[in-house]
Amino acid sequence: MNDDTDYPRLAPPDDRYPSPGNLFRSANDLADDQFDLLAAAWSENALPDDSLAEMEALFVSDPAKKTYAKRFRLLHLSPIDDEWKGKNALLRTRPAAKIIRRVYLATMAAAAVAVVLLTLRPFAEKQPAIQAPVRSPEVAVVSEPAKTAPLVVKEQVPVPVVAVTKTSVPSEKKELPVTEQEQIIKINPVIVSARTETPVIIAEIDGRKLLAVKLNEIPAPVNIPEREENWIMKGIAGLSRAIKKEKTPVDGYAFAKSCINGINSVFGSEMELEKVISKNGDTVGVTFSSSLLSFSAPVRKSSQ
Amino acid sequence: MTVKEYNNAVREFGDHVYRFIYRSIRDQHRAGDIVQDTYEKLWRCVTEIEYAAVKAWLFTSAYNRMIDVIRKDSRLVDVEFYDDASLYAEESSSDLNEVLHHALERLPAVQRSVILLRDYEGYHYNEIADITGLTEHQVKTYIFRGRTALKNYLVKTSVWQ
Repeated sequence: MNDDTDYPRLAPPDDRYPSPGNLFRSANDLADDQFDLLAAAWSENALPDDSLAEMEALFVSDPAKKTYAKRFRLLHLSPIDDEWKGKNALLRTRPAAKIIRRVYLATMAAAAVAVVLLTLRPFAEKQPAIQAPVRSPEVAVVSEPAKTAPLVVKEQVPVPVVAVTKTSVPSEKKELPVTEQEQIIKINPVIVSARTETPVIIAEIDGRKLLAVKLNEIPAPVNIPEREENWIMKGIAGLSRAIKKEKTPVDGYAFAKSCINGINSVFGSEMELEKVISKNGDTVGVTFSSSLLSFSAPVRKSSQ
Repeated sequence: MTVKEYNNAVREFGDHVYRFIYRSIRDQHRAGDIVQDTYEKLWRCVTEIEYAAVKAWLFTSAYNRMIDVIRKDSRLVDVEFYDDASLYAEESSSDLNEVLHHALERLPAVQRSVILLRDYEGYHYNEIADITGLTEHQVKTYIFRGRTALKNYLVKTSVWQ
């Protein structure tokens, strides 16, 4: 029973399909969808050799099909310029580069803060000198000293003295007569102030030659330069003109503000630089605040 | 792969992977998230991957991630859910490439992806098969059917006379 010949087997009969010719197909019998698939493959040179030969034969018999198939080559997509904006966020830095970058950023931040401070410092120093009331408590001017008067040295003589000759000299004391020109104050013969910067020597004075002056007639000191530009602003202005080729003034506030914004964005700090604007809309000062330093500084009108 | 090579991979292939994903799912935020996840994954195994193979690795990983997102998100529908008549009527552009991209959006996700990899990146069929996990024969079939679908779209929009 181990041999196959032991089983009874059926022999295939000699039956034939009556009309096999009806089943044969040529390339011309391909449906449109089928031909489209072949044309798509042909347009990409992806047909095997035997299929390619049949397609070529078909094209010879029907050139219109070749023209039709060639149009499939137009169905290729070209990339559209889709840029990924988050690309830079995924860039990694090596440890050495990270250290260099941090040092560089810290240096730039320090430089920016220095620029801010140096830019605003002249404004902060000049402004009080302009607005502060004139004070010269121990100033007195003598018409001409007496040659024979004996000298007596005192310190911190409490008696206020105001005397003015032909040239107006500031003084402040509320006891001063402000309306009577003839009113004259008697003063001590000699006064030497203890303050070294304003030593005043008053000899024997003829009080009748001294004239009182109203306080509001005292002019402000005029020795302040009209415009003082430090070398940083000059340098920035020159650089700006060289780049933009325009003679535009440099806005120190905008420059300082951009520096601080840059530092904030890099280090995540919370420094602020704000303008103080008066009711008239004029910028009267700037305020800087951070976790380490805060200050306010007035701004000259000429620097706005 | 070194850090420098990793950064090169970001600069060189980042936009390519992004536009492949974005054109596949038509969602900028999701595409950005997928690409970012892909690069994060690359960074975790940066020392194990050769730079020569990183492009294929990126496309493979991004494609798989995209398939996961598509499966989880029912909002990303395929062409079968579109109403062809209304969509064909809205086409008015004469730029063939632009029309083709509109047509591409109507294709099933797999056809869309293999055509993008073929046309955008110029991958061969076997490379696309490696990326997508399909056989080479399947890749060819999807591409040829996709081309035919694009042609039919152009015919219906009267661009293909």
